[in-house]
Amino acid sequence: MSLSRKGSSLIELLVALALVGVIAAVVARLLLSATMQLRDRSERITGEQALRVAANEFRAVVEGLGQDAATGADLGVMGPASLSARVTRAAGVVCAASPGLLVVHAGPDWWTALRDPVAGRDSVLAAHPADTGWRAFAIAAPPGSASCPDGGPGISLPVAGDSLGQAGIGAGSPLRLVEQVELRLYVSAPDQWLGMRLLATAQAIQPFAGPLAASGLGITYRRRDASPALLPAEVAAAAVRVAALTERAGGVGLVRGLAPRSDSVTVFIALLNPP
Amino acid sequence: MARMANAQRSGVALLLAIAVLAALGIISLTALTLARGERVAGLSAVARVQARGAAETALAHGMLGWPTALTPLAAGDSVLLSTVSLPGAALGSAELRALGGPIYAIAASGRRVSGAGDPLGAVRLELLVLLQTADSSGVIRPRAYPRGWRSLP
Repeated sequence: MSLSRKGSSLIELLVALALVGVIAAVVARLLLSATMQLRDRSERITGEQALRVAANEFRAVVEGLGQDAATGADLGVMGPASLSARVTRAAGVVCAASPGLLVVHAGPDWWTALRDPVAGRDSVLAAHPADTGWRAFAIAAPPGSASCPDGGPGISLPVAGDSLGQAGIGAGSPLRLVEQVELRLYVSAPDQWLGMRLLATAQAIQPFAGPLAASGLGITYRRRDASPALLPAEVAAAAVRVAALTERAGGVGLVRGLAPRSDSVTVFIALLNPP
Repeated sequence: MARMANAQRSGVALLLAIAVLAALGIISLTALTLARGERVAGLSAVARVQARGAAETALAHGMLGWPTALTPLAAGDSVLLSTVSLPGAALGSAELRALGGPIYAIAASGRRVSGAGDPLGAVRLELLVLLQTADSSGVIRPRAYPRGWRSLP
């Protein structure tokens, strides 16, 4: 009786070990598959996030561009995989002006800014009260604090430029702080990235979205009638296509590990201030 | 002895089951978090489009004009020109603001709210305008200033 129980226990143990082995193999396979799918999904989400960032940045830069007779077009270089433009960093309203100096309201209802003005890097556009457009001035010295004639806080902006151009600009003139930036595709081996560079400084280009596929950025420029624009002053809209890659090889099953996944987005951006 | 072996086998199976369940749970939670993040990003993009539509509609209504007496005079003063409510619970409003000179600003805001009234997305736009002489009915019709549009942060 005792021997019978021992034999039975051994068989039970072997069967149990075999079963555990089979189950462990199945579970390991399931876990591996789930892990691969999760990694694949995570990589694709990261790639889609790069597309979102690229689309948002291009919209932020391109949408506000415009032009007028006095200061020309904000858009500078219009390449198939790059553009340079004069973009707005802050906006306010002049409360007092004298030759070489503009004072703008600094209260929260008056001054909206992504950052503070910087001499040598920024310029200002000031709107002339007559219907003749804007005037451009460089910021000649570091801005400071000042008071407006109504006693409210102000920001003094020492400006360099044509004094005739400043004539007529005074209290109530809208003002915009602008800087020149470049957006383009650049190679940081072995990948391609979308980068931004400030043209007024010696700053190296900084990546903000990627990695991108080969020829992963394409920009086309359109007139109001949707025909191709050849000059910056003609541009009323831009279509931007961005193709991103996953950083690691994606996919599950048969295509696992073969190549990075690719996805793309095309945004059509109409300028708020077209010609 | 046999009881001891049985107990050890049970312990291994239990530990194995717990480990597998924990691994599956972590994977499921991560996937759920990623999916939720994607859904929020998608809804946010749609909400911004709806909010922008409401802001542009309110601003377009404001551009139709207003009675002369409504025009604010002192720098910084403002007056509400229009409000709109669009299907999908998007609300928009536009106000005229005196800047202290002949150029005025029409500032429009739009926001998309959930059924419970929580804000899902908001957009603000501004258009600089020049005021033209009132017409025979006493309504002032604005004219857009060159390069007058901008998105407010």
